Amino acid sequence: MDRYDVWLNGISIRDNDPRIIISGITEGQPKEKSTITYMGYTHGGRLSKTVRQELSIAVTIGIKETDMRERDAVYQAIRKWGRYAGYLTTSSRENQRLYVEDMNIKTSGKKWMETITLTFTAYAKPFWENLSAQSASIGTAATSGSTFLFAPGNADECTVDAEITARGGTLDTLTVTVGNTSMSFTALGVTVNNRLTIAHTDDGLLTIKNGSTSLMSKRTGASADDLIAEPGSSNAVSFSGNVTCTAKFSTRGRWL
Amino acid sequence: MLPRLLDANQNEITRLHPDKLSIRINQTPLSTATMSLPEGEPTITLRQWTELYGPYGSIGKYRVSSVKADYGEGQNISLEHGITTLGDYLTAADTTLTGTPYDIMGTLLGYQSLWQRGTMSNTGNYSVKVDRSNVLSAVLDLIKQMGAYMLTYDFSSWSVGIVALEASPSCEARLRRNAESVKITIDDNDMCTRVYAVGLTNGYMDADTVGTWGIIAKSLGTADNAVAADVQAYATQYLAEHKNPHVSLEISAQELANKTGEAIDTFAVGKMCRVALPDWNFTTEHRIVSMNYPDILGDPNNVQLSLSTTPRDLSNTLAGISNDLYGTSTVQGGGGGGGGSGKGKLAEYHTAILRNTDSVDILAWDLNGAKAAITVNANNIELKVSKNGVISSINQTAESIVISASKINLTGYVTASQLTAAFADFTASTIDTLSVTNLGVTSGVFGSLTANNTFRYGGENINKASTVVGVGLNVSKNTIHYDYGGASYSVSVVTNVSLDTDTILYLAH
Repeated sequence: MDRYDVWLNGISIRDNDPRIIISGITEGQPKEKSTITYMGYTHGGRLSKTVRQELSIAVTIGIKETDMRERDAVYQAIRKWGRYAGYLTTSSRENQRLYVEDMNIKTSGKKWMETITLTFTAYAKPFWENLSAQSASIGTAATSGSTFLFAPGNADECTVDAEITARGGTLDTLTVTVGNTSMSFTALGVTVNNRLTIAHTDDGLLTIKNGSTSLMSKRTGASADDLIAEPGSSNAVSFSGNVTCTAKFSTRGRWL
Repeated sequence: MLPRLLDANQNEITRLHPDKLSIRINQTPLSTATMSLPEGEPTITLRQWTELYGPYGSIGKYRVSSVKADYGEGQNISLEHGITTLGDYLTAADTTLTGTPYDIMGTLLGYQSLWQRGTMSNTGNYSVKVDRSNVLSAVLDLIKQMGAYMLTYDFSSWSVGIVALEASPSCEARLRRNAESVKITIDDNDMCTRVYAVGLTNGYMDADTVGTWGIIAKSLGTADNAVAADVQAYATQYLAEHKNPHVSLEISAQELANKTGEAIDTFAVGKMCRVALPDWNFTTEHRIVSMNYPDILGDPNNVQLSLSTTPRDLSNTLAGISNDLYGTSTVQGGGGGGGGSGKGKLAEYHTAILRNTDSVDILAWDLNGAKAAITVNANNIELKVSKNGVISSINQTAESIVISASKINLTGYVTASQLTAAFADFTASTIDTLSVTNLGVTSGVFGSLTANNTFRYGGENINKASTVVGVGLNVSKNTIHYDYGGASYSVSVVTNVSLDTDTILYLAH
């Protein structure tokens, strides 16, 4: 195995062609935007918030091929491999993944000994997360229950998924709480042994479903936008419903 | 999808390739669009038709309302939604249309030939007064009366319908999901928790928010002869619309429905939208009254939403004022003179301009019983101001001007060719010639005073035959000297003069 490797959606870049040689992986500084209000009386500013907008990973490669036509074929294979968004994993971040939406190549790749830099950029979720989700379950059916979920990572916050399965009848009202965030639902109509699933798409959008049926409109207005846990610590998670339920909470955490 | 340029038969001529296309979709017509076409695109002519597309498909056919051709650069095109064609036609003169929305729309659309009736909620009976007004404004007048309804359009059959607006939210904006920014403005413009009107119990009605916001009172300005039940219903409706602060929201949002497939992510005008800001412990529900796509081709998911509390938005108010101006309002004037032409009016304004059949009224009133009005008709101008039963007025006809008031103050130099007065006070006045029949004064200084008949001093008369008083009479200590005709006499020898210690008495001949 080489010193470096890069996978996109589980496919190594070297699977495109064994003549590809990875010479380095560099993680750039995330692009962030700070909102600062300058205070006229204190001769200073007040930092309101900082939002991470992008995170880029640069992968430098070479193509060990002298024939220009052959080099170009490999080059085009790389372009096709990185054409679509997906989860990037690298040998420098074991057990972590980054959802990248763009791969940029600024060099032509046609010259012998030319170093090609592939820049992958994450926009929707510019944070690394664990490959495997950490989970906590409440397996005994009850109208309410609580446990703790350890969230991996060192970022400020991470999202949590939840599955609440109705056991004692039709689940209509439900409150799900993670740390300081809570979602409440009314008129769910989740029949026995079916489940309400709170999850996230690859690009981080929240979904709330019963099977394929969306239950987004059942969430009350006062509910939190998302279920948020604090990485690096155990977070209290709980539910409360009108019928007995079992529950499972999971998170992949978030790394800076 | 690119805009389609259509011919007179609504068939596609070509697809257009604008540099930029902005579309503003309004709940209350008209929706508009602007488009810049680069050099090389087809030449667009005025009133030509196009079909425009939004994130979810066609948003209707739009007619070119202006073309600005910049030769060598391209064309800037302004477009209006197809319903604008109703504005090309006029209604009948001085007619009141009554009946269900279906009936009224049938009559109104009968004034033109392009649009026909579509599916419409047909509840309630309404009355729309038209007087050579354009058909579109008459349709809007009906919609305004109906309240929570809006127009719908089907361009495949050129039918216009009326649909009830949803009462509960079906879409949602959240900062962590589809909203980039949310700006909320809350103000007390037009806010009212108590209305006064003749016909209400105790003369007023309170909203259920009066405990929250306190008393914010307004007069409905209803006519004294208005039907009490009508006043009651109107007051209830008025308070329902005005009992809370006016809230408007501007949301910069992203259309996500194409990506998520979630109905809750689909924005549309007329929809009730829940704006959930749990991080600020704030959630509110308001109707989307306008959607602006600033660059629907370059950034099709970027939309600016305008949400508003109630239909009592600016367009509604303007429509009301416009109706007043053009005589379709049911508001009744309180200024007398020409008066109102209707059966009695329920006005929500503290000011109103009313055009009646034979007169024009300008009115203003407040909650303290004060009211001012100017009424103009062919023969008369009347200005009237009243407050708590005290009335002043100026009434002008071709023959006369009558000023009626408890006090009339003329400040400045006043001339009058003829003056008749029952009584007058003069202060520091100079009179060249004064003929007085009977003069009563408490004190006065005269340079000379001539009495042609009888001069009366106290209770005594001094006859014309008497000698001029004062000439030749000198009084000093112990001496009265009367110089008559060059002769001097001491008091003891002056005829008709007697003297004692207190009195000098001159006895007339």
